[in-house]
Amino acid sequence: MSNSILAQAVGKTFWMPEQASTVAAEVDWMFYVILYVCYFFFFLIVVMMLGFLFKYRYRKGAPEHPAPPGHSLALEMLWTIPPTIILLLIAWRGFRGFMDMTVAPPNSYEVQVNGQMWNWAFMYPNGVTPTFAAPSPNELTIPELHVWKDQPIRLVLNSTDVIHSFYIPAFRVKKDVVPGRFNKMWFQATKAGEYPVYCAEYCGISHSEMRAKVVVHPNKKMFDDWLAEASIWLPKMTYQERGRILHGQYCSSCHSIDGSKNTGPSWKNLYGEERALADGSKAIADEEYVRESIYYPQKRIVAGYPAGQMNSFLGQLAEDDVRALTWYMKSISDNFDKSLLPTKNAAETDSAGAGTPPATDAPNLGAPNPGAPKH
Amino acid sequence: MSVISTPNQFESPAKSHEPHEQHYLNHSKGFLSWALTLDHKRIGLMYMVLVLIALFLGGTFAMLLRTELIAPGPTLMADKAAAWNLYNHMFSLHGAVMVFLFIIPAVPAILGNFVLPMMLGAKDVAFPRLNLLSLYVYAFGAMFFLYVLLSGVIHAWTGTSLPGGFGLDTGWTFYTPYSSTKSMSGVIPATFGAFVLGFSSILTGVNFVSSIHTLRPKGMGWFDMPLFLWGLYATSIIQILATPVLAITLMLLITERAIGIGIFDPALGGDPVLYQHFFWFYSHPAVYIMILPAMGVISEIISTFSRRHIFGYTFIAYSSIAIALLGFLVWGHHMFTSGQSALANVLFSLITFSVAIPSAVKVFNWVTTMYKGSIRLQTPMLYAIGFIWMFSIGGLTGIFLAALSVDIHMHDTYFVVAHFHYVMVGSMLFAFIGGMNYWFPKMFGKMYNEKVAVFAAILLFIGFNLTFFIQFVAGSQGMPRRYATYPVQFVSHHFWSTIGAYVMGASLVIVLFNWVAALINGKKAPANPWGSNTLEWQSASPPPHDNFATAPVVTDPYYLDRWKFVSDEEGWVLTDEAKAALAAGAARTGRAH
Repeated sequence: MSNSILAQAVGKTFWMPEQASTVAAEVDWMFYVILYVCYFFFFLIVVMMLGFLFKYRYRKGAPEHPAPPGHSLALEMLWTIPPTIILLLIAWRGFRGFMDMTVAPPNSYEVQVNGQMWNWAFMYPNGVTPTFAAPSPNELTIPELHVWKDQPIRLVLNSTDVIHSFYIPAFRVKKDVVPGRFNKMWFQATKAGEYPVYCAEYCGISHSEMRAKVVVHPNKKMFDDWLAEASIWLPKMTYQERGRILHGQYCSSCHSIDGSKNTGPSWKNLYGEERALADGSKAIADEEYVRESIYYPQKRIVAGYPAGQMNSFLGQLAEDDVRALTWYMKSISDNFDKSLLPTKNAAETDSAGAGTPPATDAPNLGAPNPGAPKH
Repeated sequence: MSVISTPNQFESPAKSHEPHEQHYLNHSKGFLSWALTLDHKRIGLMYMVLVLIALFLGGTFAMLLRTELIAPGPTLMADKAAAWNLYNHMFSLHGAVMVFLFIIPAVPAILGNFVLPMMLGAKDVAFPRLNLLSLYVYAFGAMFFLYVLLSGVIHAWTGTSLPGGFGLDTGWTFYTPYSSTKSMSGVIPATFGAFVLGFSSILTGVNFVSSIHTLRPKGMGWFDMPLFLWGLYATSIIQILATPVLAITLMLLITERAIGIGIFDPALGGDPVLYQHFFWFYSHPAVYIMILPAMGVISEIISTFSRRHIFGYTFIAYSSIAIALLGFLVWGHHMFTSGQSALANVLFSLITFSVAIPSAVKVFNWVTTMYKGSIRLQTPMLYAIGFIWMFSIGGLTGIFLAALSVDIHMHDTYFVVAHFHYVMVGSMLFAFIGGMNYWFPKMFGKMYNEKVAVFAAILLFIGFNLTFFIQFVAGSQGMPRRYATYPVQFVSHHFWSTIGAYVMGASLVIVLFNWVAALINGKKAPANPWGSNTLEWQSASPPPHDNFATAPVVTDPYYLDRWKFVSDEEGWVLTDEAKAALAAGAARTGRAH
């Protein structure tokens, strides 16, 4: 359509958020056309109604008007046919706009999106799914979808558990993320920057915190640099640091680290603790218990917690990830001697190489961007 | 199909020799005379008590959820998980109770039950026993929702869970697979309650359709009926045809959750979007169950208080039927973002637009009815004016949501929340309270305080618009619905919306107190306080047990010139010409169409 003319990036207005995609201008144009149609009919109705109310109000002694005719075919046609034509035009243009939003250009770059209560994960064509730490222990992580400007991006969406919906207001696009099927959506960002993503389909307790953001790089080079970095940064960290990041990405929506009870038990002092289970038996929370709880969460439920809440992470978290999570648990448990925590990163431990920066110098992708809006 | 009026052993003729007259309220006394009554008027009143309790509960949930949203972050509870959990339970219970227990039955079961037989000049509905059964089925279904509520309260206090789960946190839509696999809440009791309530709705629908077909008096053809009856007739068709689909869907959901047969859960080979199709195949027509009888109420009020024959009678009547039939074909617009095919989307979009036309026809006809009238702005008329305002906004904003490209952005945001509240609350609630104020003198034989009623109506109007108009803006800015907390950019939207909700709550309390005060010491109401010409006003206020002491005379329902105002005590009485015409047997001469 007339995207070249309309696709000027427009800031936030009273009605609409900032425009940052190729389809946003068309959606907003349609919105304002309908808005003015609505204004016209609303004021027509209200002015007539209030006008009649005032002009023909009952007053004692006022002469009564002779009754006007009780029906008029001409009037009925007047308020049936023109609105029908207006509505058909709106329907046609709305459908055109919808098709533009639906059919992705053939040169689109594809990212796989997985929704899970209450997290998003983005897998790039090189098979890498970057992880992001929570901004603080009490907040859920805000995963980032990185793309670059002026490039059509096609998202293939699926869900591990219940229905979610991937919604980027600044791009005016939304698609449900349905378990058992791959839904598709696409967009092309017109402005570098960061844009919030919301889950728009109710999905349980932390639905309102199931956030993400789209980071639009100014060019492909910067995106490629980011992806290259993101693809190698995890193995550079110590196990417990990597576990902290994985916890933020996958676990923190249900498991606190400060001892407070959430959907699942807190991890504070969990490692090495004897756990009372729902079936009356007891178990020590060691490596094998943690592994089993991550891969087969329904096998041993802790007393006081409902069954059926946690998904299996089998196939989603590798054994090495589980190892990292267990080390993280050790690092926040009084049952474990902290002096035994690994000081070198996992890759180092294997290759015994030199010159690895300390964990804190790893690219801090998980930390919130200082300029990003906090939700 | 005779009208049954069974004097049963529990109804003893009143022995009182006091001068006050006999009517249906004092016709017989004692608990059983109400519990086993077949009188449609008493059944309507009992429905009124139950439905108003449901409104109170649903309103309380609304106040709680709006309070949680007055600021971002946890408000009602100290920690996040508890606050989000409470919010999710509140919005789910609010929706389920308001839809299944209040909005759907309110106008048909209360006003329809009371007024429909009288408008037909009949002694009762076609199947009075079925009518009583529908009341008990409603009460039985409501008990499941009380159980859900109770289980939630017990769980919050003691941590123990009653069988079936605690509370309800799925939204009133029970979307799978969340409802069938993840939710710990009382999905089975709640859906079973809705299943039972559906039967109450079907029984009422069957009764109304058969009453309108068989009980119309001599001289009342289809197009001589008051428009309220057309509205009820269209509603009843939807109730009979659509409600069974809901019943089947909810049974399938219960089957999946209870015994794990895969229908909607993809892990079991089912399809969650199939559930949405089934659910909205009922629940979209249900929107018209809510609004069509409300539109009928407005037609009666606008004509009466404008002292004008309703304009475009046949168009209004046909538009009710058109809305009812088209309403069956638009359910897919709830699934524009679900991944259904583009072809399905464009068809559902087109049909959705077509519903706008009969709705617009009604609004224009109502406004034109006021032209050259002699308009009395009494309480029911005030609500009718409010209705037209709200329904115009609610209907026009539907255009945004029917247009595919705009809907993708608006879908599941507060824009949708505001849109359907303008239709379901702004319009339907205004018509319901307006209708209650209109027929209140007939129902109870008492007049309420007009000044207080006007004050409450204006306050409710202000509160409603404050609550919901700003939600359009929040939604178009991207605020998703069903969020327990929100980004800082939406703080002021939510704050003012919550303040508006408090104003609404306060005004509803005033409305209720005004009615209660009228029952206790209201002035005696005349037989025809508004000068309406539908048949119920030819009877005393309140009507006798058999509705009419003498058979009512059928004329054009909107031939208002037959009545002249005398005084507040006597109300409106027939003009001398009308009396003469009656005597000459030419009552029908005033027909205007």
